[in-house]
Amino acid sequence: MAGRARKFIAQPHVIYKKSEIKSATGLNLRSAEWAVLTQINGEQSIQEIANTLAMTVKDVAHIMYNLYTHGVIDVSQVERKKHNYAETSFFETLEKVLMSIIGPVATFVIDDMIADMEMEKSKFPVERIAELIELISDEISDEKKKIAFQSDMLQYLKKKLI
Amino acid sequence: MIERWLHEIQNLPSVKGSFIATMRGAVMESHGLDISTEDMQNIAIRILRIHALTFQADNPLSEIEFFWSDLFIVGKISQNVLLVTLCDNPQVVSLLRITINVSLSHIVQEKKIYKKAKSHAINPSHLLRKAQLEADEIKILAGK
Repeated sequence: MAGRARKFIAQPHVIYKKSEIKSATGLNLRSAEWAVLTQINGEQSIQEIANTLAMTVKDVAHIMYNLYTHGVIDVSQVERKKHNYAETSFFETLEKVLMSIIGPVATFVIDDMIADMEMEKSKFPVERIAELIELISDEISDEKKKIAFQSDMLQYLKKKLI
Repeated sequence: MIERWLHEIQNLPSVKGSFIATMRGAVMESHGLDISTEDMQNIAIRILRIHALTFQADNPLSEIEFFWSDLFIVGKISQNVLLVTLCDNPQVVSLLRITINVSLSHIVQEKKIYKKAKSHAINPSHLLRKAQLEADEIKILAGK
């Protein structure tokens, strides 16, 4: 009996997992392929892996296609994940903390960074909050103020998210 | 207190542990790692040499991240202190970087750390000297 045909799906929301049948041991993989393979855990989508590794979705999908053809990864989930969006209170706290550090431009900086991430405040995924805080931190040139901002936001994250 | 800040880092998903070293690679504290002090020192020296190369190129990097074997390693330098964190993978890399920044800012204020780090402060370029051959050695190799 012929097995079900395997087909690679390159859409950004698709999640892959490591194969239970074949491991990567013995394969001659490049460092970028290893980096992607370490991220594949049955939880992260192609898009999320690209974000984590600061790579493009196209590059990650290409690498994953190669891993898939080698048989070391399999499709885990094709349906889109239900999103967990950041609450309004997060943005209120973020704005308050940032305003105390850089003044009234805080609102514009936050909006700019969210736009740079190609996101919207109303649909901002919780899992990208730390990334947003990090991007905003890069806009604070004074090292002490940067640490103060990160410290305050880290406390908030610990209370609310971790 | 130092232990507390290193513990904060270790609490993050996929983090194995971390250690702090001077700019000469001497390990001052470690938390959560089951590797020898010698191995920690070797990792520290490698990171410090990368830092030294960027220093020589007039573009000093204080944050260095790389994959080594099956580990993701993050090195952060501040006020003559190197904080190295070893992770299984960069699962929450932004949160990790923020936590490292905040923890290191507290660690460098510890008197014990500050004093030793200051006494070990060197020009980063010195770390590259061992990789350079002396003029006499070049002559010998060239058969002159």
